[in-house]
Formats: sequence, C-alpha cells, structure tokens
Amino acid sequence: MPNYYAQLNKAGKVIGISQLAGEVVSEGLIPISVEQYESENLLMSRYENGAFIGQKAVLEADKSVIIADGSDMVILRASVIDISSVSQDTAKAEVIQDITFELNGVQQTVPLINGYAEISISSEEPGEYVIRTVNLDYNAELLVVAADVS
Amino acid sequence: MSLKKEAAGKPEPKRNHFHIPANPDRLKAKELQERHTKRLNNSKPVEMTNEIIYELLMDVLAKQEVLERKLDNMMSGKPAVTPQWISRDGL
Repeated sequence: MPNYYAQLNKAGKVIGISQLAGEVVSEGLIPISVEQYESENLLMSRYENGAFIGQKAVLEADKSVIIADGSDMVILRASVIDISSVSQDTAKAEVIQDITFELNGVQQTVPLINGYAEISISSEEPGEYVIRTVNLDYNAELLVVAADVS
Repeated sequence: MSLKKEAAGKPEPKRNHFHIPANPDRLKAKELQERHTKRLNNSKPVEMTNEIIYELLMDVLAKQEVLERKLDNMMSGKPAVTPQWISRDGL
C-alpha cells in the first residue's frame, strides 16, 4: 500500500504532501488517503482534532484591465470554499463572516453577503496592482492593470 | 460606481471600493517635463532676466525633490500611492 503523508508545520498547517517509500511514524507527518493526496485543497489546510479543515478564497473579476481615469473600475467578487476533508457530521464547518482584502498595504474587511464579498477598484494612477485576500487558510490574489489614458 | 459621476451629484449604489489616487510626484514630473519641452521649442530669450533664471532654478530643484522622493520610496519599499477605501458603512 502506498504511503501518502501530509507534512505539518508547528502551527498544524499542511505545508507539504508526499508519497514515501516506506511507513513513517512522526508527529509532523499525517497518513492520508489517495483521494486526499490527489486533492488540490489539502495543501495549506489545517490539521485539527484528526481532520483537515480550512477555508479557501476564490477571487473573480469582471475584467483585468481598467483605464486609469478614476472612473473606470473592475468589480471583484470573492467567495469562500470549505476545504475540509471530512464529512459534515464529524466536523463542524467553520463559518466565515467576512473577507479581508489588501491592496498596496491597505487592508479592509468586507462582510460576506449571500456567500460573496464584493469590492471594486478604480485608479487614476497607471500601473499593476495586486489585490489579495489575507484572512483565510488558502488566500487568493488577482492582478489588476490600470492602463495609461494618455 | 463612478466617483466622478457621484461627485457630479448623480446618485449611484455605493459599494466597498478601493480608489487609487494619482501619484502627485508623477503629475509634478509631467508638469516639469511639459514646461521644459515648451522652453526647448521656443526660441532662446533675447534678454535673460532674474525671473527666468529663478524659474529655471526652481524647476531644477523641484525635479530633484521628485527624484529624491522616488528614490526614498524605492529604498523603503513604500508604495508610491496609497489606495483610498470607500466603505458601504453607514448605508
């Protein structure tokens, strides 16, 4: 039987997934199933009370380029996916109330409404800007380009 | 939501919004460059007055100030512009 393991850091976060040649017993290595090994969501989840839990942000935008005229804007929509690898009857899914966004070092928290947190961005300064979520286990980021009007 | 439209008094639904203002240093550098281009395109003044010399010197110092600030920002890793947050709070 293949030996699949999730490697945890000191905080209990999954920082690596591996297939080893033999069985290993270690506090920082948790045996996982083939399905978990192949899952994209296990990495960066947290191992708590025998289960892998966590929240993953999904960030979508209606466009990736805006005109840097101060009025054109991109609308971003963030949603949260529960990446817990256990069934809901054995572990209670965490409820996320809001998402914190960061842009150029400025952070703001937006409450989730109907499962989404929506923000918009406008710019008078041309350039590339990365908007990211910061308060989830698996955060997302998007590049927004503000194109010069001249 | 359009900030310009809102400023013009047209009510639109508010949302959580990041607005990135123009970098004042970029605008100042552009203004200095335009003035310099205008000088280059004009013929050489017949008479060199104190006012002309003063204006030239002030432009050189202003350009120096812009460049120094840009270097400081690059060294400190500070972003050139800080976004403004317009919240839906209070609706």
